[in-house]
Amino acid sequence: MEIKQISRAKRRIGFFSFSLVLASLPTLLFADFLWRIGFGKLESFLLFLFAILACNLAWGTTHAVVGFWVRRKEKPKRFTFREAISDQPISDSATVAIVLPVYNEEPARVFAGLRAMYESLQSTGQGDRYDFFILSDSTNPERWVGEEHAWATLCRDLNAFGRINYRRRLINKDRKAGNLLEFCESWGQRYRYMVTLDADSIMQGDTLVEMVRLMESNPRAGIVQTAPTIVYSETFWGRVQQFANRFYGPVFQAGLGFWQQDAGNYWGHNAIIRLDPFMEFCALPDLPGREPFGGKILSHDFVEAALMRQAGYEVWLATGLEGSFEECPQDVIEHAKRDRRWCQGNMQHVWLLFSHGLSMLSRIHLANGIMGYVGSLVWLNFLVLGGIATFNRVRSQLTMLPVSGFTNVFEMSVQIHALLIFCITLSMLFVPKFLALADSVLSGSWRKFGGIGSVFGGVVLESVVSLFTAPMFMLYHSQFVIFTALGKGVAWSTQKRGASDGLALKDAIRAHGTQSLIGLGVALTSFRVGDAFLLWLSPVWAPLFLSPLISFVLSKPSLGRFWRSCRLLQTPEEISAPRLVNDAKQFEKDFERANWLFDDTVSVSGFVNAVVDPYVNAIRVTLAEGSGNEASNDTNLVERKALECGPESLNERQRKRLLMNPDALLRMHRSIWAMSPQELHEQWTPFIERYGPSMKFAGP
Amino acid sequence: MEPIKLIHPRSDRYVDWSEAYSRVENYFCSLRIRNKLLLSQLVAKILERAARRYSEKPEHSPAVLALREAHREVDEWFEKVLEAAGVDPRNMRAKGRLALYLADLPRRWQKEFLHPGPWPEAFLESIKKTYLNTGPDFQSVRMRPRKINLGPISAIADETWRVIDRWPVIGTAIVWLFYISGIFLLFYLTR
Repeated sequence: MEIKQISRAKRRIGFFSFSLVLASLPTLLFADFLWRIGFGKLESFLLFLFAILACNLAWGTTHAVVGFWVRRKEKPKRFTFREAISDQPISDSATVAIVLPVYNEEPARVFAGLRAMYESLQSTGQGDRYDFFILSDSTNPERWVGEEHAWATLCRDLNAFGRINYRRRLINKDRKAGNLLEFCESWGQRYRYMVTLDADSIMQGDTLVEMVRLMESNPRAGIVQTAPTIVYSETFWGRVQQFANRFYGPVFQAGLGFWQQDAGNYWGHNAIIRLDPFMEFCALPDLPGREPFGGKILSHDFVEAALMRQAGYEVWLATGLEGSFEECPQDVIEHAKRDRRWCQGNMQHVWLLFSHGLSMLSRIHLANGIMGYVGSLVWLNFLVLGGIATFNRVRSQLTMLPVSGFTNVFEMSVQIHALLIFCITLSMLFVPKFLALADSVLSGSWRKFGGIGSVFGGVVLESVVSLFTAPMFMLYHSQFVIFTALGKGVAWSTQKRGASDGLALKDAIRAHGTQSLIGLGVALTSFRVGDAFLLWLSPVWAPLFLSPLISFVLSKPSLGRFWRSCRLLQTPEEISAPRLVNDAKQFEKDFERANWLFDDTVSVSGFVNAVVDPYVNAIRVTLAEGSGNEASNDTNLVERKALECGPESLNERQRKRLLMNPDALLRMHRSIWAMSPQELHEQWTPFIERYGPSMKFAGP
Repeated sequence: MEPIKLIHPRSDRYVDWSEAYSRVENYFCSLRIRNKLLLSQLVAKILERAARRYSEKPEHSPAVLALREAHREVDEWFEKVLEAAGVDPRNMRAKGRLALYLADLPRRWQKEFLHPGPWPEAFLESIKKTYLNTGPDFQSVRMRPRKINLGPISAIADETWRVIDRWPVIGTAIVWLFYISGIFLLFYLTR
């Protein structure tokens, strides 16, 4: 029987049953083990926690096993819900808005990606149906002055006024979800579809066209989510994540697609959404209570997918659709910061788990997201209780007299029994990696990764890094879950995406110091219990104790480059980058030249540029005129202060006030240039003098 | 004194005029005029006018007068160019500079800068864009969230949360209760 003939119900029953059977095997063995050594109250707690962990583990393993099987049975390009659609024409009324919410991001990166996408779309001949929207929530004047300048330049260079639009909110109500909601309320009715992007995501033109074709071919499809490939990683950690995403991803995605079918999930970006039902059914209500646990929904994507499903629309994962890219954090600390935001968002979903009207599969998605973080707390508790159980046993100084259990049939000693459980658990961890390796060999994809040695070495290296970082993330996630439950929220911050030179050791020590002390504490306590226990727990305490060093090493781009020179952790996009990926990088490098900016070694503030530079000033004045800000006496005082005491005398609020006042900006621009050198505050002088025949100007 | 003699190297305020030269040159450079010959011609023209003004108003510094002249010259030129391009030059403000930016002056039209005209049609065509349209017209609609029935468990949790909000001491007591229970559990499990 072909896979496509298997009904959805059978797929799901089969998948969940397999997962349950897989989880029950080590759980049963562990229960029997506990029974043999003496089952008490503590052991019942332990068994409960172990069962949860086994289910969590089996869930992942089942995805890999089923995904491997699916990829053997089906063509890799076949996905979602319709076949043979690539030659179908797209209706002219299928208009698409590509929305790019940004929050204090580096304009060079954002606009370079946007330019690459725009040009890629134009090359498909379908560019006319797509409009781009940069939805800025940037609060930092340095950033939004840069964004406006970059936008005007891009539109000028591509002759894309009216096609690439820019909107900045003065009040950032409800963060990213509010930003998108405001877009929908203002312009949503003009478009049939909306493609959501993240500030770091890019998509190929033909992928964007294919997504529209998929939506057009199935009017019940509400959301089609692509699986983005990670690119541009430079550090050791970044390249490990990039390799894992690219190498293991296809097998997991095939497994995911197998069971979820039309009841998929939405990951917030690199997806296409049918706007009519989205606007009608997916507006997010506030949750009971206050933030961080209640209040505004932060991880809006999962909930929007659930509401779309509730409204009767389908949500698909477009496995096999390539040309969708994103970036990832370049060190452990940045990764943890991102996880903290995601953790808080996922924890809010607890409210929705038992709500009326959601489908069971939507609840599974929500629960899966929660378990991604709560699972760490369960593991931590399991380790603590396991430690206590061992401590009790050693302290009692009683000789172990195992009773019989069902494993007696195999005539196993308690030691062998424990080892068997350990091996089964470990194999569940490593089976997905092995299957991805086997998939690569069978499908021949190993060639794209640089050869069989490269993929094998990459898997080994990735596994080692995973083992070393798992205890760190266990502690991080446990801490985030507890903090969220205690009402300690997290501020909205910009994700640092560039690699720079990696972490300084003192920053790593500051960030991981507590973990290191916990590792030392665990080691000392384990030593008191016994040598064997110390050795047994070494995969936990040793990485924790060394966490600052591990984090420091993993953050280094030089090591990332080293492994690349050894042909390890390579991905197909690194070896032979798609045009879009190359273009975006090149446009980022050319950003200063394209925008007639200085090649400043020390960055000059956006405020100074908006006052001194005649063109940046003209752009800001024109946009500020559009937003209708009036001058006030207070602004005049600030203006005078800026001129007489220099730009550094102003705080951010005062700078913003001037930037939003077109009259003040115009006057200041004239005054700065026309004031006598003796009257002008000396802080302004270098910004005037840098223009000149010998200027270090990156422009044409 | 003849205006041109004021900026002669032997004049008393030669240093001030030298400073005025740099200021005007910087200003034109900030407009991305990179052609050195054009730049020096334009600066000389402005300084000559400024020197004339200086002979009338010697209380002002040459740099201030020169920059005023430069602004006046540029504004007048913008007005003429915009008018020729069919754009209403009234209430000009930043229109001229924006038009130059959007017309890509440094790369395409440097030689037309401050030229008295007539100007090529292509230049006038490219100068027409003097505004920035940030997006299409609104088609406003309200997205109203539908009420979600969170079920009994969430309702109880919500009520508990409200109670904790009303009496924060209860929240603190619960946290302490958890802590004490944890300690007790630890004690109990190690017996």
